[in-house]
Amino acid sequence: MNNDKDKSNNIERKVQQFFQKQMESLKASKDLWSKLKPRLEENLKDGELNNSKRRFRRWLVGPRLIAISVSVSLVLIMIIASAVWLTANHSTSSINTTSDLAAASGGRASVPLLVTPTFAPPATTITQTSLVITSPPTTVAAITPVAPEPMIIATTTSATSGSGSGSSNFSDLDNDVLDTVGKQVISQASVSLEVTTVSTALSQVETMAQNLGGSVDSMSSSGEQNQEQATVTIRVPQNQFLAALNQLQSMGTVQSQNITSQDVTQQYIDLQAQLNSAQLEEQSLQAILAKATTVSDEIAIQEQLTEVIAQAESLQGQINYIQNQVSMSTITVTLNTPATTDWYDRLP
Amino acid sequence: MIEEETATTEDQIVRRCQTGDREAFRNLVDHYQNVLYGTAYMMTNNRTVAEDQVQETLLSAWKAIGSFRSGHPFKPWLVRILVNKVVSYQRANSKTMESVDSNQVTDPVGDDPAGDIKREDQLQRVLQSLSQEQRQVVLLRYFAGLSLAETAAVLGRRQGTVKSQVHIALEQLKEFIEDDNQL
Repeated sequence: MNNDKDKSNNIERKVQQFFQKQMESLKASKDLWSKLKPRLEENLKDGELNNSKRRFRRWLVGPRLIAISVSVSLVLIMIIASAVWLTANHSTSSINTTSDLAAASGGRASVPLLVTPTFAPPATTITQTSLVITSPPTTVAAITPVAPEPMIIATTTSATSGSGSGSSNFSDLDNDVLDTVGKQVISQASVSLEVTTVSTALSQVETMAQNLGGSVDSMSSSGEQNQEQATVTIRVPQNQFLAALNQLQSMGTVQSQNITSQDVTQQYIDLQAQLNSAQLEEQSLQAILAKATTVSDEIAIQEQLTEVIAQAESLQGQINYIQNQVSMSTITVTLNTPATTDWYDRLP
Repeated sequence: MIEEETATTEDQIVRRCQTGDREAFRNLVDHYQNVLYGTAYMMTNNRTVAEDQVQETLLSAWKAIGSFRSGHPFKPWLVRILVNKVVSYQRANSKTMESVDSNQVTDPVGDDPAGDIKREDQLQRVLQSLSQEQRQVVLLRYFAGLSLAETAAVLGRRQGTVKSQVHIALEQLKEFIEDDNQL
């Protein structure tokens, strides 16, 4: 064992001696420096400039870049938030139409209508519009007295026959109620309608959605004749949201309505800031990659670059989703036929 | 102790270079030019190409010395630049290199009274008996005088791999060296 090791060391020593001998004959030319010197001088000025740039880039890349990006993003968010807040305050005066809406529905307002979301930067705010209206007992309610229950957001209960009568009229409100100027607001509603013929109403809803520039997202129906029920989800442009609700009311008797508006401005701004930061980082990495001198450096940078690009694409996807949800409001309509009252006629 | 002092002095010289001191850089060039040239020559088997690549290496080192982390060994950093330069050159000029090599082998020995060319041929014979990967490892380890860890870092390989390649290369050289009394 020791003999093998000695042999190995001996060979190693011989190789070293051999290379030392070769070193004596392999000497660089004496004028190497004189050849190199003019090239160094040529690059001295550029080199100093490049070194400064490189030092600045090295100083910038990493945690500092993230910190600067975050700071800039925060400042931008504050500026935008202030602008949004000022705009929101300005438009609040046009929203206090509670009494009109309550009068239209024949009820009384129990909570002031405050559709404008409260904006509290910089925390993420998801605010729902909140309107509670109680309706007076109607014909059916008089037979089977039921205490009127508050419902969320512009919700009415009515069994009054006749198209649209007794229901809240959204024509009194214009789209300013949603106050989407400078904001990213997702508006959604669900409406339950009692109609004479479900199939006719379904086609009316579909036609209405198309006329308003929207489309039918999904549709389902069930039940036998005279006991049909259908649910249809439509998407309409946000500026046609209230118009769509008004038209729906004229198609039958509104049993319930539920309107929500979700302010995703903060979330949207955060995503934009993150996307900008990721894009900046991507540019920095591209620049560093272009100057990488070794394959291992290139691979390491390429890996980081792949991650950053994937992150940017994911953020862009989320932004696109929000934009889509904001630009097109969703309304879910439930249609059903009136319940039979034969049992009532047969009562003594 | 002496090594430590040398390292400190070299570190100081490198720091001066980083401030743009050209004379300090000349000290580094004087100190490392032979090892760079020898390594380049043994990789290319061509004096002109070796000298050009050494110049390119030193120029790149001068440009990039601002990014060198002072306190770390300078030689492996310099040798790594050289190896990258030579490998890039060989890739770009693979066909030309072949013809140059063949010319080099047929160089006449008659005009070489000191026997330098003969010795170089012997050296090339020894190295040519190894694979390219083994040749690089042996050159950096025994000619450039890098440690196993430094050799591994320069070539971008694992230390264990380099150790194994050194062992295999020595085994292969064993017979050649034992047969050659001049070595």
